Amino acid sequence: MSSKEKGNNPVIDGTASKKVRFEALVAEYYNDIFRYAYWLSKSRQVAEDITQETFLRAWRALDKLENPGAAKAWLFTILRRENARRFEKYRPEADDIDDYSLPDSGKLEPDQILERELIHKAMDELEPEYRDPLILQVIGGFSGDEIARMLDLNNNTVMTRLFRARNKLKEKLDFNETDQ
Amino acid sequence: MNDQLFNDRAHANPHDDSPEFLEAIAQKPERQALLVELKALDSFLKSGLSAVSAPDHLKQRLLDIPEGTLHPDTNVSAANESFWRRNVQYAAGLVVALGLLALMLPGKVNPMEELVFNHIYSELSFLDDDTPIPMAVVNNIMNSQVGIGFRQSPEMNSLEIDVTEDCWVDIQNGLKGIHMVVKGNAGQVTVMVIPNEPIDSELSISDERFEGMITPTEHGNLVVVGEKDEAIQMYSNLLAANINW
Repeated sequence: MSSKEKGNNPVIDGTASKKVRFEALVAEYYNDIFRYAYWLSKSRQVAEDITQETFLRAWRALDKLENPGAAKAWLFTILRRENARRFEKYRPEADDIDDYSLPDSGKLEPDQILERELIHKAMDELEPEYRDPLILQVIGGFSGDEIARMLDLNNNTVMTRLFRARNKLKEKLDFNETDQ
Repeated sequence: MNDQLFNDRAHANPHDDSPEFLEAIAQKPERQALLVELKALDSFLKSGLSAVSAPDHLKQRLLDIPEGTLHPDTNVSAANESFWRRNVQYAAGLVVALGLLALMLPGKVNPMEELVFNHIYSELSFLDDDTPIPMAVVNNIMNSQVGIGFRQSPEMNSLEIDVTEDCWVDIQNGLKGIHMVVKGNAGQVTVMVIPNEPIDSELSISDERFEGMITPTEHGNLVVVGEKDEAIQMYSNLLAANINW
């Protein structure tokens, strides 16, 4: 549980109305959910759709969320399920993967834009079995155990994949702290 | 902790704050240097990954979900229900017309049957919830999604309905329906209510695992599918008699 999820808060302890609890979930997590959806789908449009489906299902099932402290993992799990559901039915068109330009880079310096494009290219080239747990760890802030539960893997496998993911990224990015 | 293990753990989670890991860091300066490098990589990654941000309008759309105004294509308000139904039925009608044409060809499976089994198998791994849903909640979901429901009766209330969700039956043709899972005597019984052109007459369907029935009703088709030794006809009769279009 993150520090934000602790404390005597009617949203967290479940005594607030369903609508208030839902609004708090949206405010807290919609950006992370969208980002994760984007990295799963590689398409902003599909990510938007999956995010909406995720929160729609979350709204319907909110009364089944027994531990409000686990809301973030719950939302990410719904999102994964929504993505798999779509993937089994049809393959959504991904954004052109040769174009790593970022839609939100208007206010950045050229160096920053280049860095971010490099990261996107490296992440895109990373095999999904390595990319997935890394994104859950870096964007989601989940522990190895939480990622293992979400991906239905054992903890050792998750740690191995995270180890390999970082190693591969260091190679792809030619990453050396002194260069940064 | 030896160097190999430390290296593995550091790469798996450079932010590990367990006592043994912290103790291992303190033992060697090169370990501290590796941690600095890996944390810098994470910071670099986080900043790059976070550069993708949700579009401005998305938050408001999500906040509108409780008002039932999200997704004109999935959450149907009373005002546009007939429009939606007309268009879905038009698209679905095309599917059925093509299906009837295909039926005339020897050796072809009925397209509704194919559609149903494709859908059931694609959903199978997702629909494992066994928490019963009250009939009133089932009806709320059905009403909000496709404008239908079930009459409440002692027989209907005796069903254990564990899942009720809207679903794409045929996403290419914009055909959406309701997918329910009822607890049967032999396992899960899948119930689908599809607001498309009713088929001409009741149709028995089966494959190597399941058997079922597609029953035409007033404004669509009712599908009931279960394990081979399930009482499909009983569920089909009960649900068809109580569906409220």
